[in-house]
Amino acid sequence: MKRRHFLKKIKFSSIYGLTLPYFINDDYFDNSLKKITILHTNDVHSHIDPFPKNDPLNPNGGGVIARANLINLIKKDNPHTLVLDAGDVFQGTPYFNFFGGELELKLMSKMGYNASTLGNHEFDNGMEKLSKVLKHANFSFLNSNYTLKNTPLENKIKSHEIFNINGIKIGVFGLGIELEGLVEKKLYKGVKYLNPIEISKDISDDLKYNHNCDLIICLSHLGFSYSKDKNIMCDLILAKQTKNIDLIIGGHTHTFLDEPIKVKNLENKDVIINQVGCFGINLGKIDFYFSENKKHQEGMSIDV
Amino acid sequence: MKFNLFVLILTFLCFSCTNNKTSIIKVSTEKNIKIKDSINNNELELIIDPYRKEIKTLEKVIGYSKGFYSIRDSELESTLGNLIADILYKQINTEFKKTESKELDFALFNFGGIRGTLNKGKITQHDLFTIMPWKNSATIVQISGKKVLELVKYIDSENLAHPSAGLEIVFKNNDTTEIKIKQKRFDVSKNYYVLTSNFLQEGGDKMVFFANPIELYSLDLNLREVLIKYIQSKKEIIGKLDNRIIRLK
Repeated sequence: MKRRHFLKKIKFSSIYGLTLPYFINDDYFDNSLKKITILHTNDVHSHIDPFPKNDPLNPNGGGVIARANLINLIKKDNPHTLVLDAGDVFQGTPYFNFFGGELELKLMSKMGYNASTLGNHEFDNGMEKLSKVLKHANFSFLNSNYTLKNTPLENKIKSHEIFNINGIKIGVFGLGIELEGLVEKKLYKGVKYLNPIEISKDISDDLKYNHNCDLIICLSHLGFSYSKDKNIMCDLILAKQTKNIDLIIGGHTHTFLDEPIKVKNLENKDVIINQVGCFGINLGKIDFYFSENKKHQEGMSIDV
Repeated sequence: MKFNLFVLILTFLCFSCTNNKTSIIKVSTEKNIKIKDSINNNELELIIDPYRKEIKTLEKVIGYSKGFYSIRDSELESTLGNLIADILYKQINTEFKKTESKELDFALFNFGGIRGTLNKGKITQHDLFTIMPWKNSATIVQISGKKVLELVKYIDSENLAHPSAGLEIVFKNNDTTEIKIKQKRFDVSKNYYVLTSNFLQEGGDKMVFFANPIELYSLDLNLREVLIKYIQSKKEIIGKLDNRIIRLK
C-alpha cells in the first residue's frame, strides 16, 4: 500500500513536470524537511504588456499576465514561496512616463511580491515622487547602503526584512549601486552611497546571529560583473568578500544567466548568484530544503 | 530522584540545543524559466485596462522603418545609434543655426540611452518611448580639442557603440588614432560644438569631458520629441552602418 502511494506520488510529480528530487530517497518520508521556493525578477523596466508577436528577439515574451499566472502555478505547488525583485522596476515603457510607476507597483502587489530593492531608475522622477508612488506597493523596497536621512525617502525604505514562512526565518536585505554617473544629481540629492561589503557583513551577521535567520538573501542592484574593470563592485565581488549570504539575487547589468551560479565566499562556503536578464522575460526559481535533523545537515548539497 | 530529574532536564536541554537548529540541507536550482504566452487573467486585466486605454493614442502610426535596427548590430557603431544620432544632429543643428547662428561640429550620446529596437514596418510613438524613455533634453557644449581627445579615449576604453554623428574615428592597431570631424582633420587647438543630452553633460555615464564647458546651451527640446517629429515628416526612415567609428585589427 505504501509503495503504491509512493508510485502514485511520482506519477503526480511527472505530470506537472515538477522535479522534486527528494521523492526518490528516504527524505520523502521525513516530515521534518521543509521546502521554501524563491521566485525572482529584475530590471523589468515597466514592461507590463508582452513583446509583440512579430518581435524578432522575444516574440510574445514577458508580460505581467503571463508572469502572474506562472507565479500562481508555482505557488499552488508550494505555498511556501517568496517572490522577490532586484530593482529597476521603473522606466522603459510609456506606462512609466504617463503614470510614474503607479501601475507597476499595483500589479506587483497583486502578483504577491514580498520585496524589491531600489534600482537607479527608481530615482528617475526624483525622490519626492518616488516616496509618493510607493503607497501603491503593499511590499517594501529594501536598501541598506544609501543614507536617506533628511531626504523624502527617510523612513520609507527599510534596510532589511525578516519573513517567517512555515517556521523558516528568511532575512532579506537590499543593496544599491553608486548613483553618480547613472542618475542626474538633483534627483538623488542628499543620498550617500556606502560600501556594500561592510554593510553586508554587518547586516548578514545581525540577521544570522541576532535574529537566527535560517536563510539570508541579498537583493542587489550592483550588477553581475563588469568586463571593462574587474574591480568595480559587483555581485561576484560581493559574494567572495562576505560570509553568511546564501543567495544573491542580482540586477542592473541585464545579465541573462542560463541558470544560477555558485561562488565560494570568505569562509569557502557556497553562495548562489542569479540574474534573469531584463524586461520580465524570464523568472528565476530556486528551492531551498531545510531540516532540523542533524543527519540531514551533514549531507548538505547544492545542485547547481 | 531529584538528581535524576535534573539530569533528565539537562539531557533534554542539550538534546534540543543540538537538534533545534534548522539548516539548509539541500538547494535545488533550475534553468531560468521563460515567461511567455498565457491564458487570461481577468483580475489583472481589469487593473491594467484603464491605464492601457490612456496610452492607446501612442499606438497611432507615425512612420515606417525600412528595416530592423538595433544598437547591438556592430562594434563601435550601430544601425539604430547612427540613425538616431544623425536625425538629432540634423534637426538640432537647424535649430542652433536659427537661434544662435552657430553650427554643430558633432554629436555624441550614450549606448545605454537606447533601450529598445526599431522593428521593420510601422513605427508608433509607443516604439519611440520604448527606445528612448527618458526626459532628456538637447544640450550643446563647446569644448576644447583637448577635451575631444579625452572623449575619443573614452570611446576607445568603453568599447561600446555610443551613438555619434559628424565624428569619424579609426583606432589603428599601432596605437595611433585617426580623427575627423565633419569630414575635416581634427585640430587639437580648435574648440568644437558638440550636441549631447543634459544627462550626459552633467557627467552621466562618466562622460566627464562635458563638464564645465566653454559654452553651454540647454535647449528646451526633448530628444524623443525631436525624433518623433522627424519621423512624422518622412515617408520612410533607413538606418545603416558606414564605419564612422572602427577599430582596425
